Amino acid sequence: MNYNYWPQPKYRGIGFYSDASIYIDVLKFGSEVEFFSKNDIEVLLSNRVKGLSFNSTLSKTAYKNLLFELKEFKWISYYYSDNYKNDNFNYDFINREVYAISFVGKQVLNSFFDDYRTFYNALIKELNTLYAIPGWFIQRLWDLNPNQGQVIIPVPSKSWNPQKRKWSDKEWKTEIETIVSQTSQYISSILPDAFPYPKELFIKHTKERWLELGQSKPRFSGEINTEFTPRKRLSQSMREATINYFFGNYNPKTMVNDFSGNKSPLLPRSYSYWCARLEELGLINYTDYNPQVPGRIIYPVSVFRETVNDTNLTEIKYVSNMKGFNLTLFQPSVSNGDFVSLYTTTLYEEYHKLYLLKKSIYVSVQDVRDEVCRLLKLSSNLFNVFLQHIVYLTDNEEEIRYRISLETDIREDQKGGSQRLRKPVYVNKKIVTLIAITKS
Amino acid sequence: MSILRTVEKKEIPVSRYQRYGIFRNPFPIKPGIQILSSDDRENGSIYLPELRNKETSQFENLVIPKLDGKETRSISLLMDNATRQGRGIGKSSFLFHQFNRINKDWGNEISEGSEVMFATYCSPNSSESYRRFYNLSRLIINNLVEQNVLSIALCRLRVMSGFLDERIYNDVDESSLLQTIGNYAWISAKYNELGLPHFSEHDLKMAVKKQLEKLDIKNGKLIDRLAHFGYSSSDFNKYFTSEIAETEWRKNGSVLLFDDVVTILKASGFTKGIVLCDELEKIIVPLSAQERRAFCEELRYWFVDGNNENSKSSFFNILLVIHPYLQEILNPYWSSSGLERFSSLGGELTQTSTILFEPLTVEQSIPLAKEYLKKSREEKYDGKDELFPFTQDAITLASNKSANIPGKFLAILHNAIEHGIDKNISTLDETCMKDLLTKSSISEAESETRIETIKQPKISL
Repeated sequence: MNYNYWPQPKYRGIGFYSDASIYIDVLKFGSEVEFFSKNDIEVLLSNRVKGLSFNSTLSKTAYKNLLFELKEFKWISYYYSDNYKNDNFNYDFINREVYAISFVGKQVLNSFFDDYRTFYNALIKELNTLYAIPGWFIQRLWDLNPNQGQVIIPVPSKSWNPQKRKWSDKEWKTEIETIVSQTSQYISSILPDAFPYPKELFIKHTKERWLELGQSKPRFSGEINTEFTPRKRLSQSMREATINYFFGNYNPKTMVNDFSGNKSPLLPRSYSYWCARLEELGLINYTDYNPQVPGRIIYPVSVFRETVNDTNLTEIKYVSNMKGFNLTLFQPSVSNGDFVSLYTTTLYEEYHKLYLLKKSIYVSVQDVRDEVCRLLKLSSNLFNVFLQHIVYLTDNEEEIRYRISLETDIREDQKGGSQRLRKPVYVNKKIVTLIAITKS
Repeated sequence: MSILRTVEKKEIPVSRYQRYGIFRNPFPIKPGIQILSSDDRENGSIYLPELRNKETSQFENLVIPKLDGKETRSISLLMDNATRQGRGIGKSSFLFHQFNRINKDWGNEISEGSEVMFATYCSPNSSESYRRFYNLSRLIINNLVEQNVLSIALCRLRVMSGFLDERIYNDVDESSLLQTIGNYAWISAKYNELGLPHFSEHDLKMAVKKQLEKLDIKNGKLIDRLAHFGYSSSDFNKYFTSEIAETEWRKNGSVLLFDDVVTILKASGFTKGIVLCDELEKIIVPLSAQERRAFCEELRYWFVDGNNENSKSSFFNILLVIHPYLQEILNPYWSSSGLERFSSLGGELTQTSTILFEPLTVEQSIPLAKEYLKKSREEKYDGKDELFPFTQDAITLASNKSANIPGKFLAILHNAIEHGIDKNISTLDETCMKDLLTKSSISEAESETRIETIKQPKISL
């Protein structure tokens, strides 16, 4: 038995950015100027796009973290530290926080324009060294569900949406307990290995969190007559209970702590951020919109392997688990003919399923994507790559039996709420929202 | 030699449909009835009354007064029991058939000689709004004008005025009133033929006007316009109904219909008017709760017990075509406005005021297909196999797949014929039909695909 602990993360705070291209933007800017300050970066990065909407400017902490990270990665450095030996160096810069892109930073930037995957792999390594989360999270997923690592973070089923209640009406009622219990049972029945959370514990922890949330003052008005939505509160309680249980320091499978000390590696707020970041890096994928599962299904598209002799797997040499296995990402290439036909068949099957259900020829490509990725262990980026590839094939060769049509109308349900932030599908650098496939 | 190129649409001597023993595709391509179409596939003239015997007798029971004097309902309902499966069940066909039955002899046969009736068919226009009841009154008035009921009434008044010499009536019967009595040129020619003294059209019109003036008509302009233009629906529309301002409609639209028009119709000898109001959901669904309540109350006022000529003499019987969902929407307002007593919408007495319209059975769809095929057969076809080129199994399959909804069923058969011609198929049998159905449209009857349980991933890492 291995009682080694995972290496402590060097840093626990995290800056919340929309996506990893923010690093590239800073590096690119840095390559064009001799030096830059934090203010310059704040100006550069206002107005970024997430999903289908503009994000407002980042918080001050986020800018601080961004520069901190880039320095830790050694992609940027203090201007004076590289340049103080120069003849005409202005000594005023010694104490000012002024940065410049480093040599490594320049290499990373160049590699991005050749092959973005090199950049992402470098980023995986750096983030892992700094925070320990990336590798650890993947291992934890596989620990929780040795059968392919699929894990569910549940919310109450969609049909449960009772009226708003007064803030004072905060007790835990039988009705609520029933819903939690039913959800737990339901999930365990459709995806048995994906929810290794004993029901009694789940109910207990959710209840504790519910009561905690009820104890606090209402956020905006502090008046006792404010109302709350039971569904929102229960969703939050269930979600946080699950995150704390699944991703706490205590490993439910090995039954010991993963990290020495008592600090939890992943809190609910940072969990949201890490999900998005790891998905972008191609380590996991997840969906909140599976029609049969209330909540989020997360699944790894990467795995730790002792030896790598599969051409579909890309090894990240500097990220390993406690057994010394290296992290590998599932990244089939478009030249893998077998996989291309598997992808095509699966794409058509999922499209057809939705077509029969919705009775419309064009269906949401995001819905199709979420299920295809889950079935084929693909990251969203790879889905786009393959989609682009088979669209190209169908246009240029007659062997492919399908005609694929992609459109970009904004569908009604995309305009509201969280759907606006849902990751879009890109083909040839343009967003597509609707897909139709016919057999020719 | 004309500079314009023209073509004559005539029957093609060698049609592509010949191999099936028919000269055209027997089944209609357009959904729904086009009553003014000359194409008998589309105008409702291909109709098998025996398929709807139950509904027909229910209809007569509720809406048509008969010799035995049984009371009929001022407001009846026709419930479409198959909306879940989509449209095309045959309601408009049914209504048009009854419409023609009644109007062919002004209700003589259908009412066993006890009434002089007309029927009018109204269907709300999707592009207009019907937020207030006067909009429905206007719709009915416009339909009465367009379907020539008012012009016929005026012709009858002409006869009743006694102004015309009775000898000209020898060649006239009730079905040709408009072209004869309503046409000054014809009357004039007849007078010449019989050597009778000449009179001007103006005198004739004044004679009718005098009669109208004796009636208690509230709308001043109506008498004058009717007398001058009432014989032509387009003229009357141009010079009267389309000139009425919106505010005028709002204030007096319903009075115009339920007092004045009813008075005139009664005076011309009609004893009953049947209003067939289709697609009520186009009116009701967009309304707010208050508007629905107002609608029900006005319906009651004008049709049942208000202070107007129609209610007093129960002149109109209206048949409202509704869907089950509409029943759910209307129920609360229907009962709170007191209509439930007169016409049960949702209570236990529903059978006494509702005609239930259901899909056909599979056994009924075969004669229907045969009838359509028959009307398109080539003369030289020997006719032994009435279903050719279909087999009985193919028809049965098509009927099942369309959940026995005639509209869809006929559309499937139309496509099957075209497909068979294109692909040179000699007999359209069950396998061929199955093939066609899976390839083309989504078969609605069985695609209630429940989502299967969640799939397992195909790739293992």
